[in-house]
Amino acid sequence: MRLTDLETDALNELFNVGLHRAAASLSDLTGKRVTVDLPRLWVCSMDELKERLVEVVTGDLATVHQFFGGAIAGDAVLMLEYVKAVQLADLMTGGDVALGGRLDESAREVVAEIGNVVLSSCLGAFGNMLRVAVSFAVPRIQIESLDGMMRSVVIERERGTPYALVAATRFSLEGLEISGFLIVVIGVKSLELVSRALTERVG
Amino acid sequence: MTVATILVVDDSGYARRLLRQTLEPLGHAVVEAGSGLAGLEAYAVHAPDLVLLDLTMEDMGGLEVLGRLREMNPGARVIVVSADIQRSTGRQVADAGAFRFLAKPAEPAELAEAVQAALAQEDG
Repeated sequence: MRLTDLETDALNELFNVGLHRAAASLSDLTGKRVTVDLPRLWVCSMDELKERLVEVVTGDLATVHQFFGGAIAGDAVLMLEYVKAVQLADLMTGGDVALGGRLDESAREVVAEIGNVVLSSCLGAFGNMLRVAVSFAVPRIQIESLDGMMRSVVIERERGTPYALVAATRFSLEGLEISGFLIVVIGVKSLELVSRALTERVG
Repeated sequence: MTVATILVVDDSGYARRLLRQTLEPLGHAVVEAGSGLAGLEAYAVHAPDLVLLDLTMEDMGGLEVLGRLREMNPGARVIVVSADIQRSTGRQVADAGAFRFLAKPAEPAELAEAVQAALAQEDG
């Protein structure tokens, strides 16, 4: 699928707003300023996405997936290296959970709730910009390898179109060693609908 | 209704079009700049009555642009329109002298009201 310059620009702006909205929610939750890299957008296969991520994350990951549906469908993911997820749970609870550097059940609930708030902000912004209803599933936290995460990303099942639109940004909490990624993956079918909705707004 | 020349500085052409779509029907003349540096040049050339400024731009961030605009003209009227809506960002924008801080995408009514209020403000 080829996108026009206007469509590419519109999609960049959509994800810019959505991912920054997520960062603002994380800032509200943690009381820390959140620095966000410029979001990057690719139309790529899941294999290509993995190649990009393998260069920037190591070890086990704590991921929160928020599947979404409605006019557009896909998977929004908060992805943290395991040790960073422990630190984040620690920060949020004053050290009451994540004892011994492990994400026990309570700590996982904390991280899942953070993911829920952050990712819902992002998806809500999409709905507002596209003027469509976006419904979300209950967030799911997983401790998994990068391979596992790539397998668990859910996009529309489309025969012959293994490609998806991927938007990703790295964020970090100011003054702390906590950083992670926000990733949104949507299928090509949704991409066409999104592009049309955005470009119709500017005539 | 005050009619004015408004400079829109944003590296997203789509965002600039959305803003133009609200401003032109109100009678304002819109000048666009697609980067921070281009925004500074356009300000010097067109001497606009008001600037709508994005924060997250690759060549020069909006806060730096805002600082330089106010060096060029301490009375420069600037409304920041940004996706980065953290409270701390709002404070930085206010400290840097922006008239108003609007979240992207700016709602047309909210944008029109902010523009009118900025244009009605006394110089300096």
